[in-house]
Order: sequence, then C-alpha cells, then structure tokens
Amino acid sequence: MTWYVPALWTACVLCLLSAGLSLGRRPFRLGWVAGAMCALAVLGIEGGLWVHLARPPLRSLAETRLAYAAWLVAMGWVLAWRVSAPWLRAPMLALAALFLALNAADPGTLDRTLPPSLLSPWFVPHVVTYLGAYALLSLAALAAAGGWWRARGADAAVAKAEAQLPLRLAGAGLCLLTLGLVMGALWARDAWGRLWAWDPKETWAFLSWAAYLVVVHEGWRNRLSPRAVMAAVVVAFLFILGCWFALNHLPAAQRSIHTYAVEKVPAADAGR
Amino acid sequence: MTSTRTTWTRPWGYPAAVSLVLAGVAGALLVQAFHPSLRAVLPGEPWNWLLVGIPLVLAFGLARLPSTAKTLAELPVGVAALGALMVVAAPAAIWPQDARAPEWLRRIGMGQPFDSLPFAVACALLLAHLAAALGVTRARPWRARVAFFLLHGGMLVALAGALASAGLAQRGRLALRLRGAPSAQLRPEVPGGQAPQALPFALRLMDFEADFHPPTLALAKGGRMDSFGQNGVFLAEGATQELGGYAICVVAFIGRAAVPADGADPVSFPNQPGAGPAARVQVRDAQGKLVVEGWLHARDAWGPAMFLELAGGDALLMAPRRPRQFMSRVQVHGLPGADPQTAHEVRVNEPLRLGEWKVYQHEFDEAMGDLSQGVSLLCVREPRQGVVVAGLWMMGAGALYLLLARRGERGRQ
Repeated sequence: MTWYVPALWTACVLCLLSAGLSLGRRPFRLGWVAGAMCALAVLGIEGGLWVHLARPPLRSLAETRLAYAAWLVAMGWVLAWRVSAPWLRAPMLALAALFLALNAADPGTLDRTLPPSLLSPWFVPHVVTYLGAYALLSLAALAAAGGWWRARGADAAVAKAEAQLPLRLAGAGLCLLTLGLVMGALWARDAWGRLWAWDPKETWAFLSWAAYLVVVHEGWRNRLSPRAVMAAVVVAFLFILGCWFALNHLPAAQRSIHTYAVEKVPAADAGR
Repeated sequence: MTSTRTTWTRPWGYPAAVSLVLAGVAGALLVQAFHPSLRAVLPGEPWNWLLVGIPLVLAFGLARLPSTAKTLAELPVGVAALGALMVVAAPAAIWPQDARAPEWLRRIGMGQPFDSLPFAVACALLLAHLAAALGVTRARPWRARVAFFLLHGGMLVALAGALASAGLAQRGRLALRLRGAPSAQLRPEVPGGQAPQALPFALRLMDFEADFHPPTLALAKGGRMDSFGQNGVFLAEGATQELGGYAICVVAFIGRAAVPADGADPVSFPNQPGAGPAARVQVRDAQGKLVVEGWLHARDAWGPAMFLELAGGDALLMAPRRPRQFMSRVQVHGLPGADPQTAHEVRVNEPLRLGEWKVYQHEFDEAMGDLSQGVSLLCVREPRQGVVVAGLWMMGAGALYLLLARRGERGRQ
C-alpha cells in the first residue's frame, strides 16, 4: 500500500495550509479551497484504507488517530456552518495535521485481520461515536484555553460570553460520550455477558464521563466564574487523554482487554 | 448565630455538601482500613430490592418537603458524590485490581475498590441525590424536561438495578469435549474464583468450527517481535508485496505444515490438527538484489517459529494465525421444552439463550487450531439485568434528545 504514507503527508500539508489561511479576520478564500481538499483527502484515505483492509479502519491506535483527524476536519466544516468561531478553525486543523503527521511517521500495523469480538454491529457506531466525542471535547478544550486567555482582565460579560462556546461543545461531547458508553455496555453484554466489568479502560471511560458531568453541570449552574469553568473544561480533557493514551503506559493496562499496547492472544481476546 | 433549623433547611452549597460526602466516604474508608477483607455485598433477593428501593422512595418523596431531605437534591451533593466515586475508582484506573495492586492499597482493603465500603457509600449517596433531584423536579412540566428525566431517571434505574441485582449473577465456564458426554459442571470464571452452581441443564458439544484469517507477513523492526511493521499482507503462492523497502515474493506455500525437529524444511501435513501454514519467500532490496530466501512459519503445535533476519535488526516473520470467527454446535439436555437432538449454534457476540441462562462462546484449544477437540463456553445467569438495560436505553435516548433538540428547548433544559 504505497499510497498511504504520501497521502497522509499530503492531507497533513493541506490541513496546515487551510489552518494558516484561516488565520486573520477575513479568512482567505483559498483557505476554504484547501480545507475542502483536506476534507476530501482525509475521507479518501479513510475510504481507501477501509477498502484495502476489507474492514472498518477503527481497530488499532493508529487507525483511531486517523478517524479522530477525520472527525476534526469534519467538525471544522460544522463549526464554520453553525458556530461563529472562525478563530477555532486554525488550531483545530493544526491538531488534525498533528495527528495525520503522527500517523504518517508511525503508521502502525495495517493488519487486515479483525478479532471475532469486533465482529459486532456495535463496533462501528461505538468507536465512531467515541471518536466524535473526543473530537468535540478536544475542540471544547481548545476553545476553553483560547477563551480563558482572552478573558483575562476582561469584564464579567465578556468572560461569560467566552465560556459559552466551550460549554456548548463540552455538552455536545458529553452527549456523545454517554451514547458511546451505552453502546459499549450493550456490546459488552453480547460479547462477554456483562454490561460493565470495571476493566481499566472502562474505569477511565467512567472517570472522563464523570469529569464532564461535573464540568457541564457546574457550567450550566452559573455559579463558578467563567474562567474557572473554562479551566475545568481543559482539565476534564486530561481524563480523555488518559483514557485514550496514558492508560496504555500504566500498570493497569496489563489486565485490560481494551488497550492497544499489547498484541493479544486471539481466542482470549474473543472470549474474555 | 445561625440556628440549627436554618442550617438544615437553607441551600447547602459546596462546603456543607462536600463535608457530608467526605464524612460518609471517609468513615467508610476508615472501617475498610481496619477490616481490609470486608466486602460490601448485599444479602440477595428480595432484600436487595428493599435495601435499595425503600431509601430511594423516601428520598424521592421527601425531596419536595422543606426539610433536610430537600438538600439532597442540590447539585453540590451530586457533584460531591460523583467526585467521591471518581476518587474511589481512581486506583483501579492506575493499578491492576488483583495481587499486583500496590501493597498499601491492599492493606487498607482498596485493592479491589469496586467491592469496597467507600464505593458502596458513594454509590448510595449518588442514588439518594438522583432520587431527590427527580423528586424535586417532578413538580415542573415534564414535557419541558424530557432530557432531564430520561438522563437522570436512566442513571437512577441503571444504578439502582445494578446495585439491587449485584450478587445475584451466576457465571461460570463450561469445558466441553467434542462429542463427549453432556456436562452441566461449571468452573469458576477466573482461577481461584467462587465456584458457581451447576447448570440446570447439560450441554453436549457436537461440532466446532473455526474460520481463520489467511496468514500474514509482518516486519518486526529493531528486534521488537511484538511490534509488527506496517503493511501486514496475506500470504499465498506467487504473492508479491512491497514491505519496509523490500520486495517480497512467495515462491512456495504450504497450507498445513510441520517443521521437522532437525531444522529441515517444513513438510506438508494435511488434515493434521493444529498444523498452520508455512511459506518460502524471496526478499529483494530496492535494486532488485536478492537479500535472503527462506521459510517462514508461525509457532504452533507442529513446529517452532521460522523467520528471516534482515539488516538493522529487522526480521521478516509470519504473524500468528488469528481466528475470524469460531462457533460451537451444542445439544441441550434436560431443559424443558428443548429438543435434545437439535444442535444450537454459539458464536462470539451471538450468545445462545436457554431459559434464564445465556451461553457465550469463550475459548477453544488454540494449539489444535481449527481442529480443536474442546471448547470453553461461558454460562451466565444474570436475573434483573433487564432493569439496568432499561436504564441504559433511557440514558441513550436522553443523550440523543439533548444532542438533537432544538436550541430553544435545550436552553429550557
């Protein structure tokens, strides 16, 4: 599959180009062209990988990174369409470019096999929903970090307005997290006979879900200062990073059936 | 000076809510630390339902009264209870929940935090808060608060159902030999676990099928055999593939092979249980120069792994065979209404439902591969699981509603 890595670099450059051209008060029209080409490139890579592997490319850590980048690029269009936050496009596309570059540098195993436990109608909706949540929540964190910076020294009304977008994004991300959690539980019931097993990945998923529950409720309650809410949105994202990446390097990963760190024995993977 | 009455009926805020939760959880932790072997286990049906249900009904009913119970419905109590759950669960996110847990954690009885008293207390506080919050909110028009009721009600139902049905589940492994005698004898699901009761019926394994993915070629980089390189490709005679800068051509392929002990070339071993494939490959560099030629074989019951060493510590190898799907056909004996001559199929992700029991495909004899003579099935009886599932569906519906509802409605939520 000689096209894969060059295609990733191409999409990465297009993302960076689109990000660079979206900076400034009036995004240059070429930025939209580059953004459209970037979206097409990422979708093409996802589709091509799906055809090449003859399975949904959502199995390995590298494949989830690619799907996450695709979500980020897609979110860029949604943001441009629904939300008046053009400044968010540049960091978001830069983040997508980073993940595309990570994949180009380390494409991981492009293995056509799929363990039997992943042969489930829940596989694609569960993983896609979770990655959509991750993308939304990372945008929320970016928006919160930017808002926190801009709100320093500003009056209360400005700070409150800055906190609205991160809160809305975090709320939408929390809805997707909840859906992903529910789908995961129903899938686990079919595969392993229990809805929830407190596997380390599940524990991290609970921690991140609970963290966003706290943040979103507190944000809606309107008692904390807007800057504190935005700081909380950023801190909550650390739990997502823990669930996605850090867990693979923790002692708990030794007994997890969800981590990407270790190649599993196939039958045990199917049955545990 | 604030009177006692005012203290208990005014809005609490965080200091009081955190103090309440902290007092409960810290007290439980203290008890747990002095009795590390203590496990928070409910007595079973019907007492579980009373123990969980009566306080919930009380919290729900009292929540509208201008009394202490109303304070339970306040957000700080819920946030503090959720925070306590996070703190209690955190060790399980970092360390394994078994003998490999740190000594200090096990010494205070928190090696398995989800069976501990602090976890039970935090769950109970969250339950009481949810019930009280729903009780307070029931006075408002429910149409305007669909998502609130679905999400919070769903959490309440799922959590209460999980607590009330905890300890009722029976799980065990059933080992069956191909065409052996019917068996109902369950073994513990995990080594050293509690031995479950026997099944009320017996199962007999009539057939086993395993469908394997074709073998793949992989490049191990830098001597790390567990880190396969990119572009794992399927192998077949005549296949040519670019991999890690090398051109690889399969010049011979044996579907089922055995590797002689003297290190000679693999030989064909048709229909031999557990015999995997072997492939002879030519590896050429970018200039077309032959780098190495030799056999590849994944370790199995009939021979060791054979791989080819390349420059820079890289190695070309055949990845272990992975099953695509496996399936057992079983007959059911002794179950009223079930025909013992009918063979039922059990696949991964497709459990077989037999009365109150569900039978899951679990493991097979990997050394024997697709000709495995035995399987291990997981048998689960989890009464009242439907309550938890109903709660989860409510949560999913609430999340979807909140996500898709028009902005105006969402604002009212």
